[in-house]
Formats: sequence, structure tokens, C-alpha cells
Amino acid sequence: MPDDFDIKWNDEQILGSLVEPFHQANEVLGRKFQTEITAKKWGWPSDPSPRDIVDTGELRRSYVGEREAGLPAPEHSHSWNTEYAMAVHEGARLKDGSSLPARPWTKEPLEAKTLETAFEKLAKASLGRIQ
Amino acid sequence: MTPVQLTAALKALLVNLLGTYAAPGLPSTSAIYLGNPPSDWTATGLEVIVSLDPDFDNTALYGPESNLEQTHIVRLVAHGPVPLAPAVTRIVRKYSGASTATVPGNERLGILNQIIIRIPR
Repeated sequence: MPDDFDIKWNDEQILGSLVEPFHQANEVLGRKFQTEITAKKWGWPSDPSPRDIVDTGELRRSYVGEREAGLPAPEHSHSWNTEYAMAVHEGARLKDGSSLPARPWTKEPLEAKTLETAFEKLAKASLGRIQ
Repeated sequence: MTPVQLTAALKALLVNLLGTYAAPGLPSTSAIYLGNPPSDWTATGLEVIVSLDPDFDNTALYGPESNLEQTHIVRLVAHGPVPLAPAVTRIVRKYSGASTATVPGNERLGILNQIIIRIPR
């Protein structure tokens, strides 16, 4: 009969099990960002308004979500690689004197804790699988 | 601090950096405006636009808590080859907690160089 009782925590195993949920949660966030771009919710100075942010579709297609190794912890980046992405997100003054309204498509998903909520769910499941 | 007070403070802070507005039938004035400048006004040099309405930042905290913060939005616009950095430096030094975002200019698309500064209210 054993005369002792040990519990051993393997922090590498625990932290390691959170990497995939972290990236998956970011992928959920990335999809939410893209949904915002196609949502007909953005004010525009002329009709139709509100409208989506899809004109040619180039901005939406330019999205890249990347898993990065990062040190000491993994990182995940979200980027839109068009020359006018920031002008759309933050609004802009144009040379002809007119202005583009800001359409910050990342704001609401971040404020709604999309990442945190998804991570919590995915991490719980992943931690539950540790033997 | 109200948007009106902020506009007045920025006008004083940036007095020797501001460009000018030319408006039909009016004498030229410093290029700083609260709200959207009239479409027939033409700016040269550094233009500063202060948003009439504050923006809201809702920062998630632990659990169900969040922190709702109002911010002023100030847009610095370069009409012509005018540097924005001196104005940004003065504003950020004066208002702690201010953050910046750069909108790169694009000649082909007609987008002017501009920097947006968010100042906690």
C-alpha cells in the first residue's frame, strides 16, 4: 500500500496546452473583424447609409491573421495590407477638401471581449484534456 | 474639459505651428476648427480638427467589469510638406495619457498625411 500521496503540476504541459486555444481564439476574433467589415452598420455622408465597408473587396481580402512563435510567449497578429486601411479605420481628410468617416471595424469585437470569451471556452476544454 | 475648452487650449499651444484657413469673403484664420470645417474653406499648412463629440473606449477588465472612458479626438492634417511631429510632441507632452495613430498620406488616393490623437477627457 502506498504510504504517500503526490500531486505534481507540470507547468510546461499546462502552459503548452493554452497555446492552441490562444491562436484559435484569435482566429475567432479575426472572423469577427471580417464580419464587421461586411456589416451594413457604418454611417456614410450619402445614400445608402448605413452601409458596409466593402467597395472592391480589396480591404477585406487583404486581411492576414498570423500565428507567430514570439518570445517568451506566442503571438498572433491581425493585419489588413492595403495602402488605405488606416484611412478607412481612422477616417481621413482628403486633398479635395472632403473627409472619409472613421469606420473602426476592430473596435466593437475588442470591446465585446470576443477574444477573452473564446479563449476562456477553448482553454477550459484544453486544460480538461490534460492527464 | 469640454471640446470648446480643448480647442482654445490647442490654439494657444500650437499658435506658431498652425496653418491658415482661407474662406470666401472672410479674412484668413488659424487652421483649427471644432467639428467639420465648411467644405468651401481651404487649409494650408498644419490643420487641426477637434471632434465635436467625444468617443468612448470601453476597456474590458477582469470578469464582467469594464471601464468606460470618454476621449477627445484631435486630427492633425498636413496640407503640403509640413511636419506633424512638432505639434504631436507638444500635445502629447501636455496631455498625459494621449495616444496617437498615423494615417499615412497617399498621393494617388488623395489621402493627406494625418495623425489622430486621442486625449482622455
